[in-house]
Amino acid sequence: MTADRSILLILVAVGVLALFFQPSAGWALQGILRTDESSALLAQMNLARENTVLKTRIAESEALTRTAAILGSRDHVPAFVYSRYPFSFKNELLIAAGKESGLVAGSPVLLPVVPEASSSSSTMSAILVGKVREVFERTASVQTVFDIGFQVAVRIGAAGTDAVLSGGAEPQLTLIPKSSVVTPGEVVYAAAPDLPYGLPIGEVGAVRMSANQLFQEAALSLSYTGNDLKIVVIPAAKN
Amino acid sequence: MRWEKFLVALVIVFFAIVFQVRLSGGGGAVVDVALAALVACGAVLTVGEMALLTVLAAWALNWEPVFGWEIGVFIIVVTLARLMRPFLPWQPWFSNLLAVGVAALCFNFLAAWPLPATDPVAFLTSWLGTIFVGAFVFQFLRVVFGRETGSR
Repeated sequence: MTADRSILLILVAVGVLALFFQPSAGWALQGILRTDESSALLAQMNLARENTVLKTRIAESEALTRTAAILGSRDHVPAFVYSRYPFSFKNELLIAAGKESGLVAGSPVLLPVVPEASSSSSTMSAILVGKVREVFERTASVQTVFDIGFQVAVRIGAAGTDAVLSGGAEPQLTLIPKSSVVTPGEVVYAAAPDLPYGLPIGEVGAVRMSANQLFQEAALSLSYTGNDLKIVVIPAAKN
Repeated sequence: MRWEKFLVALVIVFFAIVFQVRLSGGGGAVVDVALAALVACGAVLTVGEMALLTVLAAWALNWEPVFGWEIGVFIIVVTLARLMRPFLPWQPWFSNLLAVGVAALCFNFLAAWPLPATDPVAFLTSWLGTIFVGAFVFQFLRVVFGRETGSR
């Protein structure tokens, strides 16, 4: 019985040491436990994201001709997703880039759209999926659009209708002016002062009136799920 | 056979972590599967065995390079639930239900406040789901180890 207790004590000690000094091994375990989507499904999702980016480009060219192209003109830091917040309520990621890579808190986190082989475009397109919340030496935590605390000012379609994106399991577009005409399928892009203007986010889903009847609200239709976030890119901070 | 109980609990908690890790990335309401499984497994484990299993679960769930507040609360809540178990005077199944419910409530309020208040429907869904998982695991343990499971 004493031997059993000693073994148990040693095992607990080893577990505590692993928890404090080898968290990366835990992240590796999390990676193994996750499922991989089939390549066909991934290709289909990528196509949908590319569609969102193209729609944004069209909206930009129609109504925002003076806006410089914001994608492809800047350097990006690519990062693998190490692990995810495993409990309820928050939806955050830990990515494999930190202070060493020049990341700063508040930077936009993008999901890259891989150009088709036949595409003549040489610039990288990407969709906004979150913001850097906290930066560590070699890693950083990212608040995704699926997090209930995520909020960012956005614009909708070629008309540039103002709205606020409120994160959550099902992200919503809120505070859309009652007088604006917003239709499902219109593109949604970032218009926050702390983010590069015009970053594509998604498309408008079902539109409805808010509970107080003062504004319109809409679901945000995304071409990816949280599980698709395996590699992200972050615009490099300017010195 | 103590090791038999520990191994069964280890397998249950492993699968609970698999579920939790897979559910967490989808952006949907997440049930605290690992917490429920651990608290329910407290019915067949000693305090030492429970400590080992809790630390292993915390290691597998920890997602940051720093020791996060949530992980700390997770360990404390699960450990307290096990320590309190012998003092719960009710039928084992009800004591388990209460232990899981209170543990999930404390965990969510301490680790995620004020988020439970901002989205009470999501919180309630998650909480009820956690209690259900805890009841399911406890019933499974009773089937495997007999009706005396969880008795004082």
